[in-house]
Amino acid sequence: MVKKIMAWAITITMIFALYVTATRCTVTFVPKYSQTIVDNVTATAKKTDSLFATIQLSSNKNFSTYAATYASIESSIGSILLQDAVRNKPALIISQTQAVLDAFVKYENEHKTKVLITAGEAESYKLSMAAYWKALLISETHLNK
Amino acid sequence: MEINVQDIIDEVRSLLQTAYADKWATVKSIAEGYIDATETRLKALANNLSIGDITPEFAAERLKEEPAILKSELTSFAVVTGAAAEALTNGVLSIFQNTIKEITEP
Repeated sequence: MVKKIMAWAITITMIFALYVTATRCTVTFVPKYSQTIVDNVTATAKKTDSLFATIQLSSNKNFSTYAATYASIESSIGSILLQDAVRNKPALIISQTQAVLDAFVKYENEHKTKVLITAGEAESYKLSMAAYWKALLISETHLNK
Repeated sequence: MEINVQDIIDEVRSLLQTAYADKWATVKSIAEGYIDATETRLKALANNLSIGDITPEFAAERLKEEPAILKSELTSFAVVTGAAAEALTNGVLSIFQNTIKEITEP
């Protein structure tokens, strides 16, 4: 009985070894690196930082002045989410991109509701968004090429 | 209301070092960047609160978000260590594939 089990184990191991050799098998734990996504993340992070830095320094802090920029950035983050979703093993990075989108929409809605925000509020939004973007960018840039 | 930034930072640093003790060499530089950024955010919040440019309610709302930021940062540790494990595993697979090739294709 033991000899039969060992024979089966050896046979299965040999089949697996031949399969690995024949298919040049590799394992995947995380998505593959994408320069396009890294470029999109970097560009949208820069636009986000610029939006809140502009509001912080401007004498005009009315939401209507920035509504189009908010919409453009929200759309860009949505596009990054779609690019994430079509990759293999995307769950972790999708959760990070979703966190970026959730925070951005929250700040946009807060500004929309208040109409006017203070320089300190804009600074706080800018620093928080930078943190979400940085975590995502670190993930993207550490993926294997 | 006052935010004791240094106490919060010390506690976060200690928790991270304990939780990632076995992976600290891999994530140390990234973790320290995150801790520095957290300190900058909290100091800005404390300063803006002290000069009255934000309300205590706004500051509290931002503090409530810090765990979500930390969660995203910790997710990047999982991605970084996952990518390293993937590269290592595929390197080992390649060694065995080459060895099998050598003995089956003389």
